[in-house]
Amino acid sequence: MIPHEDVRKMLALAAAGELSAEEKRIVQQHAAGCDGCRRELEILGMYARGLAAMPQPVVPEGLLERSRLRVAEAGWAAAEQRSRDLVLALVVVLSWFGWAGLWMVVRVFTGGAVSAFGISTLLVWTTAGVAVVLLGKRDVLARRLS
Amino acid sequence: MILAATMGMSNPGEDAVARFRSGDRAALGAILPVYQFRLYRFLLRMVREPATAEDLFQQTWVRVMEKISSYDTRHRFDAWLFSVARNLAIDHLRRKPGFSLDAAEEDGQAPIDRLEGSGADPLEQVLEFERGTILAAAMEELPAIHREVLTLRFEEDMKLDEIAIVAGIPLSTVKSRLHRATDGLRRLVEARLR
Repeated sequence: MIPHEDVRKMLALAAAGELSAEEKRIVQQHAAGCDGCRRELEILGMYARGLAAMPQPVVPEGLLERSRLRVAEAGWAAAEQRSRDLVLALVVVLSWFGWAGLWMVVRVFTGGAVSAFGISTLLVWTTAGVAVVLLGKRDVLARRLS
Repeated sequence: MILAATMGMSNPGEDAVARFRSGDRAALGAILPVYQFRLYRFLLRMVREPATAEDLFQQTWVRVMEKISSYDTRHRFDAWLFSVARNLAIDHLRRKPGFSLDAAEEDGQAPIDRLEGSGADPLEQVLEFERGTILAAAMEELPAIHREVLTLRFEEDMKLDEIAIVAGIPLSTVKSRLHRATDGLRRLVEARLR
C-alpha cells in the first residue's frame, strides 16, 4: 500500500501522462477511495489540458527570411575569418622560409659576419607589421561599407 | 535510458538535417520552416518578449550552423535544437540585472500542503470562459525554469526524459520542476481570480 502523501506527489506526473502503467494503476486505485486525490487529479488534468490549449503566438512576418539572411551572414563572416587566419598562417610560414633563405645567402657573402638573429628579427617583425596594418585597413573598410 | 528513449525516432526534416550535418549548407533552408513555429513559441514562452525571441531564434540557427558537427544523430534533432535555444535563452535571462531563473519561487510551504484544503478550484470557473488566456498570462509570471518545463511538456509534447536532455538536468529534477511548476501555476491562477 503506497502512503497517501506519496500518491499525491505522483498526481502532477499522472496529469502529465508521465506515469508507468504500474504507477498509474496505483494512483487510480488510491484515487478511487480518496476524494481529495480524485478531485486533485481532475483539477490537475484540467490544467494539463488548458496548457495544451493556450493561445498560440503569431510568428513574426519575414522571420524565416531574416533568419536565413543572418545565418548566411554569419557563414560569410566565419569563412572570412578562416581565410584571414589562413593568410596570417601563410605570412608567418613565408617569413620564416624567407628568413632561412636570406640567412644562408648572407652567410655566403659575409662569411657569417652579419648576425642572423638581427636579420631574422627585422624580417619577421617587418612582415608581421605589414600584415597587421593591411588586415586592419581591410577591417576598417569593411566596417564602413557595412 | 535517456539515449534509448531518444534513439531511432523519426523527425520531420530528418533527411535535411542529415544533409546539413554532412556539409550541405543549403539544407538549412528546408529545416528552418519545419521548426519555425515550435522554436519561436518556445523562445517566446521563455523570454516573453517577441523581439528578443526573434533575436534568439536567429542566434539559435547561427549556433546550429556552427555546432552541427557536434550533433549526435542517436538523439532526436529537435531535442538538440531546443537545448541550443534553451541555453541561449538562459544566457540572455541571466544577463538581466537582478534576474533569477527560479525567482518568484517558494513561499516556504510544501506544494502538497497548499493542495490540501483548496476546496472548489477556481479553474473550473476559468474553463467556462477564457481558460487558455488566463493560463498563458499566469504562466508568464512563473520562473523561467518552470515555464520551460511546462511548455516543453504540454506544448511541445516532449517526454520527461527528452526535457531532461534539453535542459541538461536529471530526470528526477524534471519531475520535481513539473510538480512545482504546476503548483505555481495553480496558485497564480487562483490569485488572478480572487
